Amino acid sequence: MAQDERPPSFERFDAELARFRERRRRRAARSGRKRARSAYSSGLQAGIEIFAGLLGGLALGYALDAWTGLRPLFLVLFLILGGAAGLLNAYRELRRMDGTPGERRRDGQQGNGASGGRDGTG
Amino acid sequence: MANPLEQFEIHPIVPILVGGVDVSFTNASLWMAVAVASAYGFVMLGTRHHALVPGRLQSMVELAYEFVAGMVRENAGKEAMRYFPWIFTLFMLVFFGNTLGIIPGAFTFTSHIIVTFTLAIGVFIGTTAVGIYLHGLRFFTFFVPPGAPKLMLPLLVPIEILSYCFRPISLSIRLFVNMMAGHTMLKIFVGFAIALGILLGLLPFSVTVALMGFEIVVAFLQAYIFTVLTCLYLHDTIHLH
Repeated sequence: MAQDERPPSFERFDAELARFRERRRRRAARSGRKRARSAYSSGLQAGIEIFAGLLGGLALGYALDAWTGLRPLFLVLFLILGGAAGLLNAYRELRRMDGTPGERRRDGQQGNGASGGRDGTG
Repeated sequence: MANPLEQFEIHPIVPILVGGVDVSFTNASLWMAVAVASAYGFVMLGTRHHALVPGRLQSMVELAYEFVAGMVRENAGKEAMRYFPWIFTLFMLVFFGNTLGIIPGAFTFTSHIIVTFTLAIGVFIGTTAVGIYLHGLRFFTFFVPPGAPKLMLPLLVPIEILSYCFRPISLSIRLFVNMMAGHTMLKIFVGFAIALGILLGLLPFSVTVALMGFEIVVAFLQAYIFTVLTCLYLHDTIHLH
């Protein structure tokens, strides 16, 4: 056939590519297994955040106590404040991973565009 | 069974003592030098030809560039591209440090908290300096949460300041814990394989193979997370609220 000898048009290629991407996106959305693993890992990350807060508060309180000689005062104070700071960091991190806009990121660009947006670069 | 923590010991290769301070060239220094040299060599060799249609090595370098550039643009914004060289260097150093550590017998310098903490403190000082440079004293309004009642500020501001100051701690702990745990686990399973002999040892050995693959993923993922968090911190200091 004469028609087949002509090179396939760019439109047809684009349409095929779009269809392929759509299929891949749907397949990725369907598989819930990846999501479960990510929940586990984001829980771990948030845990590290809380642990770091407590550790930092402990170290800071201990150092201030040793410096001022007001022994348990700063230790108690900074352990509580550090725990709160750690929780705040963990909360922000989880919000960020969720893709819901965190308090600090109101300008409309969220991280979850990463899966679709970078397709063309590789 | 060999001690699984033995791999993290630092041995001086060339002992140097300057004024009572031990600045020996150790196995950690050696592998840091190897990581820097291989990252530098990778980029330099890859871009040697400036080919329009890249070869294998050049496309790998381009891939790395595109990957980090996309990450910076997406997480820190377009304005942050000014700091791209810094982020790219950080990513390459951590990535090569993690990846080279997988080679049996190599030393993983990212499994030491002092190394990761130094990197994180560098990020902390760098992002804070960028914030103060861009915004001047207005940078410190970052610690006042918008829309909070005035009465709560004496409590909220210290918490915000602490949470900002504890970022390098969590950043360094995350990388160090992941690298150290993975390498310890590998060593333990290899120890099982050797202790159980050829027939029974096949089981823990197959676990080791799986873990090795897992470690490669972790090596990349942790370098990625370290860099993404750096970008997010940079985003915070560039845009404030």
